[in-house]
Amino acid sequence: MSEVVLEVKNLKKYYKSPNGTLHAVDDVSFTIEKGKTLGVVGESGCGKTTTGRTILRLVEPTSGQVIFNGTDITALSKEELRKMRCEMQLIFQDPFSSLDPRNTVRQAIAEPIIYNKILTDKKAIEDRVIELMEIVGLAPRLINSYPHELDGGRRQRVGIARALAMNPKFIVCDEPVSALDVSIQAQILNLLEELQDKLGLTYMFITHDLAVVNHFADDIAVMYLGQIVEKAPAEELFENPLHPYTKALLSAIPIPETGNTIQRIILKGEINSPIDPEDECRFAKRCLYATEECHKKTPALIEVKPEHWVACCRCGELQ
Amino acid sequence: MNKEYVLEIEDLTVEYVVEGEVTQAVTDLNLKVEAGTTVGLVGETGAGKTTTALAALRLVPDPPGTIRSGRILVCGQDIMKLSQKQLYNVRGQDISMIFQDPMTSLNPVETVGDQITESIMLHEKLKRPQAWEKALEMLELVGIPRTRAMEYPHQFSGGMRQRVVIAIALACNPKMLIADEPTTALDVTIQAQVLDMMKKLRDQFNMGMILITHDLGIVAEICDEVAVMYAGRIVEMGTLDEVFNHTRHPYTEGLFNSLPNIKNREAKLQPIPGLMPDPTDLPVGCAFAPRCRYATEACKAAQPAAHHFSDTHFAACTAYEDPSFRIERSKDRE
Amino acid sequence: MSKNKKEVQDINRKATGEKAKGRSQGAEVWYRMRKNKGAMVGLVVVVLLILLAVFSDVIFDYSKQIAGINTKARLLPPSWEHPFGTDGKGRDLFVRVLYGTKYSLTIGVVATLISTLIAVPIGALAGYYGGFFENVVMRIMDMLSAVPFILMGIVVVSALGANMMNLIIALGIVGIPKICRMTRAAVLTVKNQEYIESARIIGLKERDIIIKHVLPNCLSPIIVSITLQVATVIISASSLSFLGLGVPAPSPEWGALLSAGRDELRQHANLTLFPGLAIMITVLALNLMGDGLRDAMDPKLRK
Repeated sequence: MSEVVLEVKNLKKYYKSPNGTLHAVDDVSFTIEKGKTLGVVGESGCGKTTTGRTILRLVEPTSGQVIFNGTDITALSKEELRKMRCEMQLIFQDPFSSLDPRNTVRQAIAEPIIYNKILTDKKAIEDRVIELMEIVGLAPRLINSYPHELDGGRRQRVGIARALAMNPKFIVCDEPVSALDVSIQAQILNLLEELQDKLGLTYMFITHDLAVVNHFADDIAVMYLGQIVEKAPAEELFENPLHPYTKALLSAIPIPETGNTIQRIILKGEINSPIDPEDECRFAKRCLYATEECHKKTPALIEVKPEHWVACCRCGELQ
Repeated sequence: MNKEYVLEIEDLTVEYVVEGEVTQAVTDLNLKVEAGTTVGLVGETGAGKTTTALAALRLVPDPPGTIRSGRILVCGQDIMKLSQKQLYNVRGQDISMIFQDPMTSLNPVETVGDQITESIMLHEKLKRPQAWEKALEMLELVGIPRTRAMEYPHQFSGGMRQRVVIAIALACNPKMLIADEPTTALDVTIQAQVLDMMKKLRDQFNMGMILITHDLGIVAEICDEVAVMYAGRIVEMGTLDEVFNHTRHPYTEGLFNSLPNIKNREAKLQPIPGLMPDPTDLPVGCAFAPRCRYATEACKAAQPAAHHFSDTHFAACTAYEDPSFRIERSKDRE
Repeated sequence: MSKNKKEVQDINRKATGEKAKGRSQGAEVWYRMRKNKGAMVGLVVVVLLILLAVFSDVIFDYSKQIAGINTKARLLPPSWEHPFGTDGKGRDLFVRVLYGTKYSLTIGVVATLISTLIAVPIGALAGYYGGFFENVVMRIMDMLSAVPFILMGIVVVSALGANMMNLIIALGIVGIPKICRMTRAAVLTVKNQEYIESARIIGLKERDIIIKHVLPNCLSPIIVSITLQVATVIISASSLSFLGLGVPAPSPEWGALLSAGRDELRQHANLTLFPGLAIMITVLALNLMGDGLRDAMDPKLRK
């Protein structure tokens, strides 16, 4: 076993709403090892983004622990947290809103370096900014450009350079390519992969695109309504999905080849509300295999095979 | 052969003039859609897909856009020659369009039943009760129980809303439907449902359809023909099989190589280097040449001519002047 | 239709983006402002007025031309010698109106400055932190804006005495709620942008986030509302002076000029007409400039 960088234990984030308590993240636990990528997939509203934000404590967790390199982040004071943040960074989904429109590329990349006093010499800062721009593949002539002068791919590169400026060990990538065109998307994915090899980064990769996560992640966690329903190494998950929801999700991926014979599993039924969910399998109402058992209590995430975890009452029979 | 074309676009050129600068959004575009078939219009942001679609309904915002030249026939009528009033009749009845974001195309303060009823009454001489009845039928057709007709758009989920939009678009049985990224805002499982439904409805009504998308997976799913657009021009067009399995244009190849392969996760992505050219400043030659791995000096000198590989399949690429030229992708497959 | 607008915007952006290369946002705004004729006219007039106000004591001799009494030349009609005529004390109205610019502009600018200095920090904090603090602040603003400005003027002036400083204070207080609300609204939209979160993740303290990222991005709506506020203040000041609550005689504040000309309205309409025109032109110029600024600064309003 290699070194565990991040361990999340029973993480919960509830929001109060006029209609009741919204369970955005409900008892999520996982670990990520150094240099690996955990892909988190799920559909809109499944809590994957909130999970990422809660791990970085951009959103305060309701309960649970986030242990990063042996330190429990949820117990840190604000000042300690600010120091810790140097090692944990976030790459945003929307490169159009994640850069301050009034800052040039230079200012955006230099800000974390100057503010955290990583470097103090002006010349050294300038050199570092140019170095970072080269690392992420930005031409140095763009250093004085404003975000509105750049296209989506280049903005995303600025965002990545800004995150790298802190020399992080762990990066949460929140849908980093879903706002980009396919040809640009591949450029950015390759860049992230290269950086991981070169700098030994650990990623948590949040996405709704299964093809991308399959390509990119070592392990994949599938989330449904705030809970992880299945978690396994990427290859295992795609070849041998056990949870009915994962199966439906995988069958729904449109494949860019002719003559596909895959049988689509078309889900029916209403999606449960995440507000005050009942103690039952949250997928049961849409599940093809649901029995009475499924409506009785929330199934626990159990390891059915080495490294393959599933939360389904019937997965024993359905295998 | 006696084919019934529901939409014919010939030599369409659309320009946008912004602050004195001319942007060619669409250049010399030819496209025909046969009844009962789907043409996929594929390309990246700014390739001119949406502009093409809007031109087909004569909805290009003017100013800044103008249809510089071209002929657009919807069910045989030249819509460039129609009066505003006739145009209203054609839209909705002969040709209809659905947009990417279902929330912005629905009126938030009117029930979905009323919205469908109104679009029916606009085109058909029906009394309100009959139109209402038909609206309920439409709802059922797209898989929404009639009991929900009295509800407002915000009470529906994203997938349901897109179904309502489709119901409105199809309310008057148009012969031609243009769907502009109809499932981009939806989740995969919902997307599968909506695509499935659209396919069924197309066959049921024998509609012609243009599906605008950037997702080649969706194209493989429901299209019969594919047109790949780059910088305002169609660079490759053919049947689904021809474009996917006998790819000719380097840009199409680049698109395929950029996609993660779900069956082989180790395969390295091969993105197309560089960026789409600035539409106000297109090169004299092939717009793709600066990013193309096969480009030669000849490519930069003049616009590439279309090379036909079959009756239905062509690619606009200068490299095919040399008859032995093949791109990597088709080498692997032949 | 949103998609199609987006595409057009995209094309617009690409079209202008190339040209705008290397141009800072300030230069962008100036470039767009220059194309708006009304705004440029407003700007030129405002600049002229400012120059006039700044150099009025150099151009005119206060004791002789402004305050000096000349009983021989009372109530003359407009002529080449006296373009606006003369008033009841034989003073040239043209000179007095020009000199009055100093008072009106000073009151407008200083009162707005007071409102801004108080309202912007409060509004920004209320918008950024929200919660109970925001509630308290906004309710106080509601109460303040429920008091008519004339009443407020009367209260302050009768408590502190009728002079220019007190008039400025009264109008400064009256202007607070508007700018405060404006700032809060601007901050509310900016604080949910991802670049604020991006600043937090690289370790910025909340205070620095507000100063470095929130306020600069709220600047355009604030600048616009300040410009328009100056115009509002000038009108209010004239009204108060007209009621005798403002600048005392013989200073030729425009409202005071109007008030003085009131008695002669029938025979000598020029006494009220020209100060009134001066107010109108100034306010119009400021409004034109403010609207132009708004259009130039707000990328969403770009055609």
